[in-house]
Amino acid sequence: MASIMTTSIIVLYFLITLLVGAWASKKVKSSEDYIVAGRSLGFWFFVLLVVSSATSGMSILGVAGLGYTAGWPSIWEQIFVPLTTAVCILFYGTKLHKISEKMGYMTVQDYFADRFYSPKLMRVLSGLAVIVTSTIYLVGQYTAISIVLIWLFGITHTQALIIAAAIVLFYVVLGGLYAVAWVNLIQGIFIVGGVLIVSPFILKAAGGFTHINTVIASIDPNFVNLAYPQMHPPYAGYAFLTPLYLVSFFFLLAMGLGSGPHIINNVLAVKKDKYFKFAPFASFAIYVVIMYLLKIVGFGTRAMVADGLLKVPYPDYAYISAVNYALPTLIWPLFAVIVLSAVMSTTDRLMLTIGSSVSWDIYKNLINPKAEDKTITNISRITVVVVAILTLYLAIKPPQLLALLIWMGIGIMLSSFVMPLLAGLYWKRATREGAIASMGIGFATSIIFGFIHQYIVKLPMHFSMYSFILSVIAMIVVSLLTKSPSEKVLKNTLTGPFIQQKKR
Amino acid sequence: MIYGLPDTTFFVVLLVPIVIALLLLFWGFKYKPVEEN
Repeated sequence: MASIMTTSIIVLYFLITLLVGAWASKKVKSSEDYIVAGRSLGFWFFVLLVVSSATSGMSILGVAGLGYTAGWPSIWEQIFVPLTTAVCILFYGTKLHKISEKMGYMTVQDYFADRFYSPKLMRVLSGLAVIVTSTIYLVGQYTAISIVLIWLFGITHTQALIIAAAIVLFYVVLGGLYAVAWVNLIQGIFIVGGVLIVSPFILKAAGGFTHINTVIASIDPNFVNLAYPQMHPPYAGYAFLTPLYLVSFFFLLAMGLGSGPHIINNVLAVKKDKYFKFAPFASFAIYVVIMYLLKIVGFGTRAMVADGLLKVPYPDYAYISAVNYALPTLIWPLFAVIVLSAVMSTTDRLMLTIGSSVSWDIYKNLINPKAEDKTITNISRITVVVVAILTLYLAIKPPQLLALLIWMGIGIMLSSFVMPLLAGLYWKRATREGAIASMGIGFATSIIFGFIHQYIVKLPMHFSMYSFILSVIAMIVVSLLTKSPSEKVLKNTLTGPFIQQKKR
Repeated sequence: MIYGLPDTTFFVVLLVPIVIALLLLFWGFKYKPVEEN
């Protein structure tokens, strides 16, 4: 059971986030304040918001877990995921921010509706894809909260989920993106500081870097290589990270994750264009250090298990087992705060994204264009509550395919959003029909390939790669077969093969 | 072997993030945004 100290630190952490939510709610005067924080985010707010939105709970527990299972070939995950924040800011964000400032967009779907001159169909299609991917992803996040709270307090899975959901719900409903940005700033600092403090303890307990590598190499020599041998099916369950698979992993993580609505919508809330200069570097540099440390802790835990120092019940528990073994009990709550911060910073952003999609894209732009500002904010708040209850229910009774669903979430992001975004921003010939075909085919086939991979035959690449290729083909072929967009549309949405248009 | 890792592994996992970070830093110095207002 948790000590009084642990309980007080966790309670203090929750209280801080609640107070920030209550305080931020005073700043919300319009739907623009609620959805894009009045477009007022400063440099560090923005950088840490992007990093912490991308650092989900599964990326703390899951990263160490995959390192524990698969060794160094899985280190690519730690390069591709930080890279996605840079890709998102640089290739999508810089331009989207400029256009959205000019046109007053609140969500990426606003951009899609204008760029593909499809105020209804494209908006509904992309809005639905956002709602589906975010909801799937959200369910996965609750699992990580539950693992930590159960470990600390010995409470049940259901109790753990209800406590966490109630707290996130409170500040998201009250403060919208203002609250999320402030809470994420604090959480971002907790994640970065916490991982930097905790990880060296674990590496020291495991016998140091060289010892860790020597031990894991003795389990399987490929554990210290950059990839597993290219063979299909792989020689062991964990040896799936072959060179071919890593190619699909690059697209999935470096391109797909960054196009996720909960990450990309952050770029619309930035105050000044000049923040885009060093934001890609700052987010990548911070994120890569944290991710490397987390992964090496996973290797260290594997070495400690091989040395007979500790036992790990299942891979995702690797980090917790290592903390349990290597750190004094006093520091446990610090670790718990890191994981909770990571989970909650993604969870809150996802909930807000779904809320904005329903209130702004579906209600305001489709059902009731004359809706008042207050009504939009309230509908967003009601949606957040409904989504929280629904996902909580799914997390309490997790579907058997939970892990598949989480991977499918990112896979659908890659297959549905990347091509319409990239082609929309940089290719003048991309048309409405092309975008609808690309998004529709990508969305549907990613689900189909996911189930093929799960039930029929294991595929040599991540299943979303196949649907992504189909979405690229659909975009190119259908666009070339249909009438070009008008010059007015292209001019308004700054379309063309450039990041910034040269002054004439 | 360096720190128990094959030389290739060691240099790739060390250099790839450094090169990416340097490229992004280069972008930061090169990009001159034109503020609208």
